[in-house]
Amino acid sequence: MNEIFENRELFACAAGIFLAAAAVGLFSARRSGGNGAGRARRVAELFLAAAAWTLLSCALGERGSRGGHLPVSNIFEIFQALGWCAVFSAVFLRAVWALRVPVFFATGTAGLLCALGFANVRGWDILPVSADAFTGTPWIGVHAAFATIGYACFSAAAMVWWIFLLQNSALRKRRTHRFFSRLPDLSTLDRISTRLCSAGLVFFGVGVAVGVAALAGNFTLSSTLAVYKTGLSVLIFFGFAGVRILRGQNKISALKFARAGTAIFVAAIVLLGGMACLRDDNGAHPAAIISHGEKTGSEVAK
Amino acid sequence: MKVFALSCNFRTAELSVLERLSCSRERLAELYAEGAFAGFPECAVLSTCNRVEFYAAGTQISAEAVAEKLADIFGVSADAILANAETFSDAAAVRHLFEVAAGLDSRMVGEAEILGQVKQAYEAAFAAGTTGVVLNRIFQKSFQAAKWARANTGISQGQISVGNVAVELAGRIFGDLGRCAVLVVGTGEAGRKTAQSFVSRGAGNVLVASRNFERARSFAAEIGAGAVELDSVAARAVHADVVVGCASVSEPLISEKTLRSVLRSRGDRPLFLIDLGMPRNFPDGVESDDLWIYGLADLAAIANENLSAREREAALCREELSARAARLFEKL
Repeated sequence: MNEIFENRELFACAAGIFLAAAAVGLFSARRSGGNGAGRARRVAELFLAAAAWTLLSCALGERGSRGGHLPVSNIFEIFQALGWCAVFSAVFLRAVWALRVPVFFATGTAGLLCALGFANVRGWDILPVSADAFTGTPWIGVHAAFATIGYACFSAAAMVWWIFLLQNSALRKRRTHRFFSRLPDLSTLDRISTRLCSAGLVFFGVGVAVGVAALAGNFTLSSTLAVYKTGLSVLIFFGFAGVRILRGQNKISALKFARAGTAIFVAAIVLLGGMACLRDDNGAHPAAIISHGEKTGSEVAK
Repeated sequence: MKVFALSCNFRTAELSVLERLSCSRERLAELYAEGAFAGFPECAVLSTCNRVEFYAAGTQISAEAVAEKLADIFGVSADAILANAETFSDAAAVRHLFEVAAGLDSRMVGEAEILGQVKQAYEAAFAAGTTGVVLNRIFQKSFQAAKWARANTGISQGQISVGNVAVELAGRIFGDLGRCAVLVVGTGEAGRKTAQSFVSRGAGNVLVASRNFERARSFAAEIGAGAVELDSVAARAVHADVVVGCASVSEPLISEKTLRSVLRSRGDRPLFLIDLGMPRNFPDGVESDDLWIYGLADLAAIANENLSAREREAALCREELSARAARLFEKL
C-alpha cells in the first residue's frame, strides 16, 4: 500500500496541466478576442482544463479505491481534492446560478491548490492512520469528509471573492478592457459568495463538531498539535461565521466581506498546511491525533 | 467584366450635395420601376443618412457615365457629384463594399446598423431586377465578410458613446438592468441619450427629472419612462440604483450630507452616480465601498479608448477584407 503514496505522478501532471491551462487562458484574456487565434486558444484552454480534471479524478479515484478510503485522509490528498472541487464548483456555479467563472480562474485555483499539496509532500502524504487506532470509530472519516466539503465551499467562495475583488478594483481604477466586461457583475458575485460561505459553514461546522466530539469522547489527547489543529479549525469556523453574519446584517460592505473572506481562507490554508508539517511532542505526526488506552501517538505513527 | 462603385459619403461630400442625392426607399423603388438605371447591365443603390452609394457591373462603365446618370435623376451637376464622391473600380470597388457592409467606413467604426441597410438596398435592387450574377455574388460575399469581421475582430466591441459606456458600467455593477431603477436628472442632449441607452438596454424603471416638469414629462413619454419633479431627486436617490446628473446647476443636486444620508438609508445596495453636468451635479467628497461616481471625463475617456481599440482592429480587418475582395474579383 505504501506505493500508492509514492506514485504521485498523476497528481503532478494534473497540477502542471491545470497551471498550463490557466496560463493559456490568462494570455488569451489579455489579447484582443474574437479572431481565429483567440478561438484556438480558448479551445486549447478548455481541452487542457478537461484533461487535467479528468486526470485528477482518476488519480483520486485510484487512491480511494486502492486505499479503501475517501481520498481526503491526509493534507496532500485534501489539497488535491480541493483542486478538484475548484473546477467542479466553477461548473456547478455556471449550471446552477449561471455565474460565468473565467476558466483560467478555476484552473489557476485548482493548479495552485494541487501544487501546494506538493510543498511538503513527504510530510503530508503519509499513510492514513488506521481507524482501529481510534477504537474502530469511523467518525474521523466523517469529520474529514465534511470538513473537506466545507473547505471546498470556502474554496469556491474564495474564487468568487477574487473575481469580485478584481472587478471592484477594475471599476475603481476605470479599467475597461474587454476582459472585465466579461466578468460577472458585483451584485451577482456578492450574492453567490454569500451562499457559498453559508454552505461552507454548514458542512465545515458539522465536520468540526464531529471532530471535536470525537476528541472529547472516550479518548484522551496525546498530541498538543491535535489540540491546536482542532482549535484552529474552530477559529476558522467562527471567522467565516463572523464575517457571514456581519455581511448578512449589512454591518460590512461587499468589498470588506470579500477581503475578509479571502484573508481567512488564505490564512486557513497556510496555517493548517503549516501545522501539518509539524510533529507533536512524542514525534508523532499530527494525523495521530488521539490515543486510546495505552497506545500513544508515536506508536501509531510507526 | 468591370465592377464600379461611386461613394458620396459624410467624409467626401458637402451636406447639401448629400441631401440632394439621398432618397427614400419608396423613391428608389419608383426609380427602379421607371427604369431610371436602365443604361447599366447591373446596378444597386444604397442611400442612408451618411452616404449614397452606386454600384454597377458591366463591360463599359465609367465614372463620368455614372455621374451623368445620377445628375439626370437627382438634379445635381455631374461635376459636383464627382467632386463630392470617391470612385472605385474592380477589386477596389468590391473591397469598398465589403468595408461599408462591415461598418469600417461608418462614422462610428464597427456600427451594426449599416449591414442591415446594405441588405435592404440589395434586396430592393434584386426585387427590381437590376442586379445580375456579378452584383448578386458581390453583395452576398459582402454580407459574409461583414459577419466575419464582427465575429473575428474587435471592430464592434467596446462601447463608443457616453450613454452606452454608462450602461455597460452599470451592468458591471448591478448585472441585470431590468431590476435597476434609473433616475435621469436633466433633459439636455447628454441626459436624453443616456436615458435612451438605459431604456434600450432594458432598464426596469427609468425616471426623468427636470426643472421644467413638462419637458421631463414629454421626454419621458417619448422613451417610455416616468417623470418626476426636480426637488424630489434627493428622496428618490434612496431608491434609485443609478442616478444620472446632467442638469445645469450652480450647486450639486445632492449635498455631501444628503448623499451620506442616502447611502446610510440604502443599506448595502450600491449606488452608481453618473455626473455629466458642468459644474458637477454631485459632490466629490464622499467615499464609500458602495458608491460609484463616474464623471463625463471618465466616460469620454473610456469611449475614446474603445474607439481607438476599434480603429486598431479596423486596420487589421481592412487587410483581410482587401484580400477577400481580390480573391473574389479574380473569380468573377
